[in-house]
Amino acid sequence: MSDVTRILTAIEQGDAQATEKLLPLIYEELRLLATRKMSQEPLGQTLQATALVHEAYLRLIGTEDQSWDNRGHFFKAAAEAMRRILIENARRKRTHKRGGDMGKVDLKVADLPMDTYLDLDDLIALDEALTKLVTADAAVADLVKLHCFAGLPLVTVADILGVSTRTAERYWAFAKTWLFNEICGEEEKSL
Amino acid sequence: MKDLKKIRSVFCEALEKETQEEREAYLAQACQDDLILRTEIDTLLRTHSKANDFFKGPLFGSEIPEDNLSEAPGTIIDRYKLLEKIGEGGMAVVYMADQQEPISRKVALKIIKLGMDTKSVIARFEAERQALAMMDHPNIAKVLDAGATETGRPYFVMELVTGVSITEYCDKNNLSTKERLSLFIQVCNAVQHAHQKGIIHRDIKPTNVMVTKRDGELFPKVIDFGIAKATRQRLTEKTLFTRYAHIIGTPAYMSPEQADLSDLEVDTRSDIYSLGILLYELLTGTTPFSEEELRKAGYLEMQRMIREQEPTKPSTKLTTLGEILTDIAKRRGCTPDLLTKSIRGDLDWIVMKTLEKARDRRYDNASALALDVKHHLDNQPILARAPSTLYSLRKFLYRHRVEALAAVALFIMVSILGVALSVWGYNKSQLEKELEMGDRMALYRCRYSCGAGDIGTALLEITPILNSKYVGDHAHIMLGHIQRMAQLKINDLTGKIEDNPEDADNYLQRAYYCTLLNDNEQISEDMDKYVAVLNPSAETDLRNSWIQKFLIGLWDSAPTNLGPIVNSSYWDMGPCISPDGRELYFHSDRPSGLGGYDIWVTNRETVQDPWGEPVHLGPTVNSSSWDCNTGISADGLSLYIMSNRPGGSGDLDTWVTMRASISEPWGEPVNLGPTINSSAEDAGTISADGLSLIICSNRSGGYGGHDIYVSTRATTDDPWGEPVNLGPTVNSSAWDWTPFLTADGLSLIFTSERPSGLGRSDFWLTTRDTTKDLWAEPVNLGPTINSSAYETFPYISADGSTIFFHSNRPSEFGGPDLWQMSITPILGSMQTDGDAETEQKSLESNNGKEVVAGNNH
Repeated sequence: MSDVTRILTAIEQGDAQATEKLLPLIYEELRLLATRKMSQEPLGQTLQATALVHEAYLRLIGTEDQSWDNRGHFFKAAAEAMRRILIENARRKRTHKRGGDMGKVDLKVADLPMDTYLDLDDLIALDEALTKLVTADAAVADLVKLHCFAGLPLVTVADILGVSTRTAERYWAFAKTWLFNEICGEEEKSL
Repeated sequence: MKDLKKIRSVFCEALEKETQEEREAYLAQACQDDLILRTEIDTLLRTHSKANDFFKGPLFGSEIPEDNLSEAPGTIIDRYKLLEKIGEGGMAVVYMADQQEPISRKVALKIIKLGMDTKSVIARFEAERQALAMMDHPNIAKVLDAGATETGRPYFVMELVTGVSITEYCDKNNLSTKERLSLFIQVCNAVQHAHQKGIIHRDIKPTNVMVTKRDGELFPKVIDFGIAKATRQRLTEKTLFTRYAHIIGTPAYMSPEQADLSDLEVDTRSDIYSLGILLYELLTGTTPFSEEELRKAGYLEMQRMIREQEPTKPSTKLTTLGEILTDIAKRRGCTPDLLTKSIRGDLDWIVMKTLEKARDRRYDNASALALDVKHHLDNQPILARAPSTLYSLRKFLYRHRVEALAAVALFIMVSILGVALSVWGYNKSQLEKELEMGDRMALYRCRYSCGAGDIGTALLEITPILNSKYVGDHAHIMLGHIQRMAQLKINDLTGKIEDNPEDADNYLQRAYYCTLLNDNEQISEDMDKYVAVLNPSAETDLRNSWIQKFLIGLWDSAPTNLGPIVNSSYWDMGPCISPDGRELYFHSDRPSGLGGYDIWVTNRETVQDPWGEPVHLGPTVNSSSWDCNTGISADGLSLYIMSNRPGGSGDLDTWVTMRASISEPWGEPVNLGPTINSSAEDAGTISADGLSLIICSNRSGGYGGHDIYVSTRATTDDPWGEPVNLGPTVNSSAWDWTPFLTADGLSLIFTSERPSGLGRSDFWLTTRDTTKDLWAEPVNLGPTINSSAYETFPYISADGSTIFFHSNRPSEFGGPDLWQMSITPILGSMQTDGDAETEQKSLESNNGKEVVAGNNH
């Protein structure tokens, strides 16, 4: 049984503190996976964040039967971990293109070219908006994380959040519009 | 923060109203006189479709398929009632089920878990149904039926086989090697029967070979014939990762041609390979590549291992197992030594022949494999040892080394060509989509910049897509819009200049907006004014100064990207051209380096030739830390680099690597020592006379950010003196860095982020009349080389004709790239001759282009 499975079992048995232990483990695994993947990929390849999450799932938990409750915990933590990795990566990239703090960068972590059409600024804006959303409307924020960063289909996200598929779709419609306005700000409103 | 949940619920409700009237009525009622709420909702509703465009695709890769199941014991599927779950794998779940009609019997029902195109799965099964029905062998479990569950998942009905997998049975009952081989022969015969009926299994593995005991006899049964084929899916590169689970089930048994994912390639010999792995596991308790090893390797590496890595011989493998070997031997009623000995030789050869990477070197069919195993049991000579083995092939290769090498080279070339062509074919439509997406996003970003009032950035963003076949029309409309905005800005600045003619920044700004309208005359006038206001003393002798050279020289040309041979999609920075103009050094974080940034060089035969493919400077110069380029000496024999490799005195240090002549390789870099290198970041570049080192450093005692310092020495043999800060005339409180000193030592170009620039980081120039004088107030190099993006690392060729630099402005090649710009000499070529152009055109029409001219009339 892997550490992650053990923690998931503990969470299931009601150990609330176990949740906190999950994030760093998954974070580390995802970062390792991503860095190693990039060193193996041919030049110019990009990484699919959601595929990484999925691969981490297979590696840490495998294909043995897991309860949905368990998967929910895993994917929530994985989505959050992946979000942090993407944002750190984007921030680092933005700093490093300015040449800022050149020597203070963790050199063990390679830059991860991500398969996304968002540019650095949009990505960071998305993250900032999402942070606002976490305090203002946690359920919607969870949905965005699970759908965007863990790549789960809305049907599955609905299952994890314990809402109907229709509700999940409505949340997503709202989340998209609200985030878009946060990211693109005043200009879109006035144009 | 406003009550977002309230906004959300009103928004969602409003969105679902079908007509405008209904929506209006709902909003009037829901918002009442809460104007803030109403405005918020209106904005959201207005931007909803744009938001949908923005989030059109998955943000970070594709969606993961869901795989929860709703079937359970008791569920009735068509004419089968599920009784109990008897097995579950990554891909399917198997139930024992009760069939009522046409006969009452118990069957096994296998439901495929992962999302699949059920219709085509069933269609493929139907296509093979007749062939499957013709299989009639006691060691093959019949597949009886297929269909779809209510939730749309495919299922298969099979003859119910009770028992356990072959490896589990053998281990539980401590079967000897001989007994295992007898079982294996039966399996081979079953597979041979299927092959004769034209059925390939495609997924032979222990869990698909069940063993039961009947009347005291061991009885293996191969299950799942026909299922792998029906459920196969073409795996494309795009679905590779998300569909990983489909193939990760049994990679350890997968043949090289199956790992290739080219389904067409699979034939009966793929089954032979899988039988070989099964035999390997029966003998040694392990597979050549363990499931875990393959899973951990990630997809591409797994594919590579299966295709390329030679498996270890079974007897050798046993010796590497350590302690568990005792247990493995015990399960075969044997000692470790005897087990290894019994496998070494014939059985090694038999297994290795089935595991050949090239199919035509494997056994031709399962009977031949069974026969060889039988020969071994009967102590007769085996086929695998005949002259067609790997062994004799090696002998042959040794005897004909040259021809063999040529043949191998030809084979590799043909394979590469084949792969390239198929990848190209696949990628074309995908590429189209990505290109369109990229162009649309550029247009979107341009509109965004425009909205933010950053029309310089907007112009940079629109330029690469003006000829886009997807959004070209929109881009041209946008360009008109940008130019109108520029004109408004110019009008505004003209007013400001009239009010206050002594504010230099206004001239610079106006020149900048003039570039958007290509008004070169006004640019020239404004930049002259700009310099004159900032440096009144320099006005008298402008003609020969570098200021004039740049300010006029640069407007005559436009920056060009060094193109996709030199630039990668990663960060390419720090260009530095050798004195002979034939080597261009730069640093890049492209992934084929040693880590961090590495230094690369691209070459050209003559200065007229294009640059070649960049070459990595290798591990003598580069380390796994950051290795960045700062400059090359005038003799081309010393390359100055900044690196944070171990052995330095702090963060980034300046190092120098030397070579004895231009044709020789660079030596081990040497740290310039503690006078130059502080505990902070220090990056130095060498002057043409070799007597000054211009350093940018964020050591304490500066004016903020990085500052520019200079260290001197009396002769090239002397040690460097203490670096001196260039002072507050040159250095600002912002970052001032990546300096470049011109060959005459009278002009210093550097990057600065001071706020009065045009973009986030611009090139600035400071000059002095003699090397004894103080540096003058820096001036911005103006709006052709500087943009609203980041410009850093300026480097001028030794002949002064070209400036190379790094910029992250958008280009058709994407990415932060190396750029160049020619510096036109001040005199000559300033006048463009309109008549000359007309003359050229008429010449062309006299050279056989009359038809075109005729059509125009």
